Amino acid sequence: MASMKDRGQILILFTLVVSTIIISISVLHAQNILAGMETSRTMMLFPKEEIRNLKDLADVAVKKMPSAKWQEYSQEIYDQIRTLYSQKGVYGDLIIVENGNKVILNFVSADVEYSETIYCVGGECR
Amino acid sequence: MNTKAQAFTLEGVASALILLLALYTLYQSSLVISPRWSEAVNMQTKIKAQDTLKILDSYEKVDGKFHNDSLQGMIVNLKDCTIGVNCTPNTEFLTSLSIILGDYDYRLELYWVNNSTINSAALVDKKPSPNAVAASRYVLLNNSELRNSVFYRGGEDWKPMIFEVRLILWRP
Repeated sequence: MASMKDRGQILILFTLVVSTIIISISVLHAQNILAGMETSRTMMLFPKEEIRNLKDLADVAVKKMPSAKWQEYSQEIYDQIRTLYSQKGVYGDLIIVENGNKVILNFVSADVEYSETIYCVGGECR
Repeated sequence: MNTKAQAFTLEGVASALILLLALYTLYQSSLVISPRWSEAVNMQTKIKAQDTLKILDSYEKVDGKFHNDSLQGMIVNLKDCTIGVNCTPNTEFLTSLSIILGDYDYRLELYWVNNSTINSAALVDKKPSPNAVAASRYVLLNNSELRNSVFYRGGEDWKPMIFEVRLILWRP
């Protein structure tokens, strides 16, 4: 038993080597799955549709806005969007500035804080 | 008693235990993804709801009127909605919605702001199942476009009114 030439000890040594390899590969495998799932989950839970809704609304608002009354129009839209988003427990608004040439979009939820400035020329926003 | 044989047995048992531990770790790691599949199904339903609302949100026709089966046309044609009766979308809209949704079941709600308070109406009033998901779409209509509608507020034509159309979708 004292000598390394004994077959039992070689057996246990090789088992240890094989086990270490299997454990290392399985840990790597688990980490890859976890990282992939978490990334896709984060992407899925990002409120992209809410932000897209605000962008589409900005586009329609600028098209329908009377240029002579743009400030009152902007205020009406700002108030209504804020109220409608508040019932979902999030903050969202649209602020039309510079005679409708610029729209500032804000969206804040527990996980995401998003702000964007959209530039509009001739009723087309991008 | 052969001590060598006993040592071999002990070492064999130890090797088996180590291998078992390694295989157990492998088995545990492959179980990680299983509880998350329900979320993927929910996301598919949510995307279906969002796409449906986006398809139905269309611009007006050349003559300035809205398609009856669009979200705008549906809102403009609602009768007596503010007092909570006869608040049913037109048949063309419901037919188009059913065609797009296929075998999904749904509930449709409308929200709007009146004097800083939120009003709501259930346009299709069904009870959602626990796995239901919701999607919203916002529709902006000026007062002039709501002239023949129950939402017409009188006063200036340019005044905007924003509606949230909420579609709640589930598999029956």
